[in-house]
Amino acid sequence: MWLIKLAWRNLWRNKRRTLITISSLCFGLILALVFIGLSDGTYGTMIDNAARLGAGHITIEHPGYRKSLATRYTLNDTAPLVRHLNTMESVEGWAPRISGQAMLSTSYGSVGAAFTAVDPRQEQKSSLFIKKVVKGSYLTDSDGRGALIGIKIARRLKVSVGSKMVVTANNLQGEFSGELLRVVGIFETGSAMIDGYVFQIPLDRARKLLGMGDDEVSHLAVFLDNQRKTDRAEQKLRNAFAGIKNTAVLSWREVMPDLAAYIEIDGAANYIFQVIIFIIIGAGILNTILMSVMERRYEFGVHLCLGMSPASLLVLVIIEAVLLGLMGTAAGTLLGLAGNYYFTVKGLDMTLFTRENIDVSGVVLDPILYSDLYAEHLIVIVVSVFLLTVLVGIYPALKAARSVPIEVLRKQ
Amino acid sequence: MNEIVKLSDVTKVYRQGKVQVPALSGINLSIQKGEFIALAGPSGSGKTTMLNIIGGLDQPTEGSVCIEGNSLGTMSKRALSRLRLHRIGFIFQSYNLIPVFTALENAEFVLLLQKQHAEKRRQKVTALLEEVGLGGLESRLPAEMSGGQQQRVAIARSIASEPALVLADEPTANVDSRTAADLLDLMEKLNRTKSITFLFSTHDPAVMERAHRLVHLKDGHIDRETVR
Ligand SMILES: Nc1ncnc2c1ncn2[C@@H]1O[C@H](COP(=O)(O)OP(=O)(O)OP(=O)(O)O)[C@@H](O)[C@H]1O
Ligand SMILES: [Mg+2]
Repeated sequence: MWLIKLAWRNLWRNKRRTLITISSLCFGLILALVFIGLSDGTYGTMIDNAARLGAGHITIEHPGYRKSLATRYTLNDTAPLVRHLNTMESVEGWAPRISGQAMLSTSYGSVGAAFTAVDPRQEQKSSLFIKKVVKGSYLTDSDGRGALIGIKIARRLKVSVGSKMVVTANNLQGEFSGELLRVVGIFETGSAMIDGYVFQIPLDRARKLLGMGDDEVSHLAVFLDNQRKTDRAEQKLRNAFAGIKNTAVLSWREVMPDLAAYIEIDGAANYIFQVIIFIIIGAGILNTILMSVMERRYEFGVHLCLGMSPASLLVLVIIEAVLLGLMGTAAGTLLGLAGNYYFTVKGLDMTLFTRENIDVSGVVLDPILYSDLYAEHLIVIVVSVFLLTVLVGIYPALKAARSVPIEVLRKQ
Repeated sequence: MNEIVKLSDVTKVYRQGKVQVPALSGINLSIQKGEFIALAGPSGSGKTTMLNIIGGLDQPTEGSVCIEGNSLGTMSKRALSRLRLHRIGFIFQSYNLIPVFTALENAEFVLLLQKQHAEKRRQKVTALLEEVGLGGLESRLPAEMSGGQQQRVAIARSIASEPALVLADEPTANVDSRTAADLLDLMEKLNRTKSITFLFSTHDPAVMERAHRLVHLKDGHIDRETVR
């Protein structure tokens, strides 16, 4: 107990030095927490947007589909799947879909495009396309002739809401097949790839076009209330559907490997950045503690002379490091959380730094980054900064313990 | 067992690179319980070296040192540290108080190291500070006290655990002669009332006069002894 008292008072012998050390620790921690919070938030938004513009956080499909992307690999009976999905709490919604390649033609020309056939009612809750409609409205019934098209397709085909188009595709029998469509809405996501290549039609229209059965779908898109629950939900569904033939459960990572790779590489870069920050902080603390120990070698000699054990001296210096670490990490955590809170509410407007759209593998980023610090990242960072301080204190502590009492009487 | 210190044929040679510096040669000395004894001698005569060796802070090159019948030569570092903690008090020329501790906390430092009970510790040290003439200054920091007052705290610290022996290397060298006399009065009183053995070094004739037994060192050997 008195060692703590002594350590505490020792720290304040050189107020300025201690305050500078605490500040640097604090500053480094704030930087790390805000940085990680913004990355966590940005990755989260990216994943969520990509999932809601694509095939969901989790996709349930025929195991043969992913490799060949052939339309003939379908799910024939979704009823038991849907029944299970409805029981899961983390599932916000699910949507049956048929996807495939087709040609859209008007009298001005034709474009190759990818269609997603949907049941509009099932899309309402979760699809991001609904929010991206800039003209007309979203699809309403599942057997009409409506089509929702990207703004770039609309420009190329010179169509607007109400215009007619013809969609042609190869049906399951390999024959050429066509349907008449009417544009009901135009969407704009900002991604050239989606706006110029994707269109949506009602599910039953696609079934007619492709010659599919009444219950057949390409996949079920599953939307979660939080993208972070993906792994757990995926595992649960895999277990639940293990006995159902020809049913594969994939996460967004497998459906969008580019995005997953981007996040992984970007995350690794962040990690290196963090490590560098920590090394700088660590070097600063080491310098402070080592200096304060070297200055007090004579005093430590006196302690030893009076019968204090070297082990107690070691503990004394470690306690000094622990106290420094506690103060620095406490202040840094509070301010770091405050910084994160600010960026969670207000966001960081990236248009201050760049005018271009940030587009990662077809996902357009909101130019305002919002922070979302994951609890486990907070804990890992705070604990490792604290441990770093203590670790860095060990070497000076060993030096202190090796002070020589004899020098005391000599130096007078 | 009244022999507190026994030096037998103690020799100390310092090595400085290839040069050998003899500091003590063939010292024989016996100190009895309750003595008030001074080491005198010119600078470089080996006073500090001798105190260091008696305090277990340095080893003799040859010869043996016994404290209360225990030979230091056979003791581990740890045992020596424990011996200093429980049986030997130290007073230094430059006081060497802990700057962030108050007079009271400094005086009880050794008792802290001995893990004595807080309340007992406080009581004892408060009384002791009163005894060394520092009543009312318990919460002063060293920087807020005069040299003489600081040395009184150091004296209180050295005797708080009632050691068998107090070693003091030139305890009055940093204070004026008036204060030096006062400090000697105090040490003498403690020697008398608590029968604590004091061994101090000095080259101040006024201080030498106060010793009950005076050992003159010259070039590392005992030149002569006077007993009063
Ligand atoms: N660490 C050392 N290395 C080499 N020589 C030393 C060392 N310490 C002391 N000496 C030498 O040993 C001799 C005795 O020194 P010591 O310090 O014991 O003398 P002293 O009587 O205390 O002198 P002073 O009155 O100046 O304090 C001196 O010649 C000194 O130079
Ligand atoms: Mg000396």
